[in-house]
Amino acid sequence: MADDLKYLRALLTSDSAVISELYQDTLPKVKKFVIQNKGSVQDAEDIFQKALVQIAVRYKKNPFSINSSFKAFLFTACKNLWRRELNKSSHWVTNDIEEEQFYIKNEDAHVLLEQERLELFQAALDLSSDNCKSILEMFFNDVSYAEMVKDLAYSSETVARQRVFKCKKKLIELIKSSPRFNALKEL
Amino acid sequence: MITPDDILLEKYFKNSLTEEDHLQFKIRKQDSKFVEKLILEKQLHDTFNDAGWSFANNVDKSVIKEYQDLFNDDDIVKLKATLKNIDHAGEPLKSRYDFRWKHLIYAAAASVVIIISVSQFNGINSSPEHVYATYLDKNQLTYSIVRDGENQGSLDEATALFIDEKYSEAMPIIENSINTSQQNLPTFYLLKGISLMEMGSYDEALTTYNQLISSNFLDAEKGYWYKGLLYLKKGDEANALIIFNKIEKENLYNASKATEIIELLK
Repeated sequence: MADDLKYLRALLTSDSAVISELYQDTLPKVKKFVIQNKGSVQDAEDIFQKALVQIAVRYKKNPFSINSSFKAFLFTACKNLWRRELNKSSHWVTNDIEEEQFYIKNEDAHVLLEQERLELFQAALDLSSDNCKSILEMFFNDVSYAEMVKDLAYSSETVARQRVFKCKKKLIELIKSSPRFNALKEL
Repeated sequence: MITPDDILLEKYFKNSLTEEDHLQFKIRKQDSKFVEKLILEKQLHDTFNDAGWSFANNVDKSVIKEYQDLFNDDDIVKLKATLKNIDHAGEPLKSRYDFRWKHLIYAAAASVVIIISVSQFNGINSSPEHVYATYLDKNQLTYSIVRDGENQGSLDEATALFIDEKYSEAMPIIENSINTSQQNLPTFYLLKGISLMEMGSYDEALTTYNQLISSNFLDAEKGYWYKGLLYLKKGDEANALIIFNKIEKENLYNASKATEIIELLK
């Protein structure tokens, strides 16, 4: 049985022996990552459990296969969940109390949807050319056009800027063409 | 081709809208196509910014309900129970806090404690020196000093020099305070130890921490914490681990942080 299938099935059958392997192998890496990023051991354990449940729910909803190893997939899910936790305190600055209450009541589902959306965006970015990928990653991380010129050897800031707009437009087209886009988009 | 909307959105995300742009932005927000573009671009920014996250604010509620129901499915409920009972480190998992409350606690703590941290979101680095810099909280130490009025001037001067990392200038004042102050002796021992440690006088710093550890002060156990940090600073990971394992096992000062350090050094 493929590595990913073994673990995915173990989650749905609550096979504690197989799941324990993940605790032995992946949890220490998650702890290290969380601790190094403003969290505690307890946070890491919480995140780890949440990620396992989240993966199980996703598989239950729509069985999928994993391109990388299951453990790498789990570690990425944990990293994303922790990234989300770090941003949580700055969320809900609006006065839409009804919306906020709905979100809190159904937080697990929202997290799942956010994770799926992230993967859709990432998959679209991965389909972009290497050059587009590099320049967009710089753009979304607030790197100046001047630095893009320096790092990616463009002839001028105008050229770099035009490249950003072109790549961004292509990325948005790819995202919108996905059959999953409508279910994941904001209304 | 770059459109006027593209330029407006670019300025919006770079926080460089002029007054005139703001007016234009307000007008354009009445156009649903523009709003759709704005929302999607914001999601892209939040998703691909390494330190950000794109929250789902207003999505199809039927999709959310479908997902939420899955979390209450029998298999998933059983899995949650299994995960709670898995013995992954020789002991059951401890009870969980709610993250929402945790963030409030963090926020409150952050308002009084300035944690010196050199960690970056993706900058994984667990060298002993890095761990030392992350866990040495000099500010925290100075908060515990009790002001008694008599020697407040020299006390303030010593702590100011200490915080400014002017250790050689702080040392004579700290030494004098050890000889004269009755109230803050454990803290002054630690100030002295850290100053020596930061100046690279490791043997003298070790002697100072050992003096504190062997004293009868209630804060004597803090000496172990700083002794562990001293070994980290020296790059002596083996001895650091011995000290942090002792702190964890005997639940001494900063036991939970000691556990974190042990994890980091693994």
